[in-house]
This record gives sequence, structure tokens and C-alpha cells, in this order.
Amino acid sequence: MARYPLIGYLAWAVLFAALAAWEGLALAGVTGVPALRDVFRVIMRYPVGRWALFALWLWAGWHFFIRGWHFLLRA
Amino acid sequence: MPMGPLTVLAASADRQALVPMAAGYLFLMSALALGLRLLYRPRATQAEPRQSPGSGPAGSRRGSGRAALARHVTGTFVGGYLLLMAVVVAYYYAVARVGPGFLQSAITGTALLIGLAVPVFAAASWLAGRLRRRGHPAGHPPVPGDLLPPGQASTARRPLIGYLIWAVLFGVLFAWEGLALARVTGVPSLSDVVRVIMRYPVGRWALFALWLWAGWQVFIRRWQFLLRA
Repeated sequence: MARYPLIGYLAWAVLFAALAAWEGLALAGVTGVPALRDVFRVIMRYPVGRWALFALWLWAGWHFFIRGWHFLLRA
Repeated sequence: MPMGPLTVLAASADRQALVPMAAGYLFLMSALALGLRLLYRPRATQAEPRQSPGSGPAGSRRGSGRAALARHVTGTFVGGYLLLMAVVVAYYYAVARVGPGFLQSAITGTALLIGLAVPVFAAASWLAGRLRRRGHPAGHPPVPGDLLPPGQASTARRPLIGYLIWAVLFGVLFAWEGLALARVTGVPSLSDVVRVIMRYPVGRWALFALWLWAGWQVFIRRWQFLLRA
């Protein structure tokens, strides 16, 4: 089933670990480290930013959970 | 079923996905840059974005918090949905006609997801409200700095470097995904990683719950604080 070398998956794990670590520092109250919600707050100051973020979230849900299923489209 | 043509099709679709991915990244980074520019503008000249009724605390003063939240959420959902549909249609007609069911799947699939998410969000908000009332019977829940309205929130701004590190981290993430979509050998895409997790029902449930939780946190919860009457 594994189509790629393990290192490729590990790179993803390291990337997400880095994101989680940075967020962890922010949540731990380390001075000068903004949390992800601070970043989102900055993006969502304007309606267009909110729409873009919502579109991205919705797209992720569609791409990962719906696309490829033909539940609603079955003839 | 012969896998060769399907593999070629998938690879081609992956490469074509580079365009919207890069565009999405640029769009988000532009929004972040614009927001940061306004946030770090000197206080005297800082022009706050004009808040529509219901998109901020001013709206909550005018109407009830619940009505303002409903207006805000509806605006975000409708605007975001229409924006995504515009991008999907443009992608389909201008970049790649990926399949006959693509547009229908995008339109109905995303609508289905919104239909699934709305009652979950409502239940989560109701539950969070009950828990909060139990924890804070005085009715004055703490308002974290990040939930303050823009004018007040700017007082709690953090060094720019912290935001830049977020931008770099997301840049690396998008770049890695870009390499995967460009079919660089040995680089799995995020979809490949998710597919591995979703082979098992527990993984699917956990990912779907995570997706719903993220949406509720970002689009509902923080605004519930802001718009509470």
C-alpha cells in the first residue's frame, strides 16, 4: 500500500510537529509568539479574508471526505 | 481494471492542482500581509476596517448578540461558499476539465458538508454555553486578548517575527505539497498522507471530527465571544 518511501511521510510528520510546537509555545504564553488564532484574526479582519478562509476549510472537507464518493450523484 | 491510464490521469490532475494551490497560498498570504500592515500601522493613523452590522461588537450593541452572530455566520458561510464555487468553476473551465462529475460534486458535496456542520456547530455552541454558565455563574466570562475587537486587539499585538515564522512554516508546508503535486519522486502529497490515515474507520472519524472542531473554533466560537450581548 505504501507508494512512497517512509521519509516522505516522516517529512510531513516533522512539518506538522513544527506547526504544533510553535502553536504550543504560543499557548504556553511564550512572549512574542502569536497563536494560530492570532494569525487567523489578522486574516479575518475583512470579509474577504473570512470568505477565503472558510472556502479553504470547506474545500479541505470536500477534498478529503466527499470527493471520490458518488453518494449524491449516483444515477 | 487497467491502472495505467488512471495513474496518468491522476498525475495530470495533481499537476493541474498546483495552480489553484499556489493561488490559494498567495491569496492567504496577501490577506495576512494586509492585515499585518494595518495592525502595525502607527496607532494615530490606523484606520480600522469598517465593521458591518453584526461583524463586530458594534453590531452586538445594535442588535441582540444571537442575531448578530447569525448574520455574521450566514455572511461568512454564504460568502465563502460562493467564493469556493467561483474558484472551482474557474478551475474547471480555465485550467482542467477533470471529470464530468467534478462540478456537481463540488456544488452538492460542499453544500452537504455545510448541512452536516451547521447542526454540529449549533450543538457545540449550546454545549459550550452551558459549560461556560456553570463555570462562570456571574455571566462575565473571560475574554482572551485574541477575541477582542480589532481596535482593542491591536494593543495586544505581538512582534512581527512571530507572524513571519507562521508564514514561513505554512510556506514550507505548501512548498512540500507543491513538490508532491509536481510528482517529485518520493514526496507524498497531503492527500496521500490523509489517505493512509483514512484507511481505518477510526482515522476517518478522528479526521472528520478534527475538521469540524477546527471550523467551529475559527468561524463560530471566537465570534460568539465577540458578539455576545
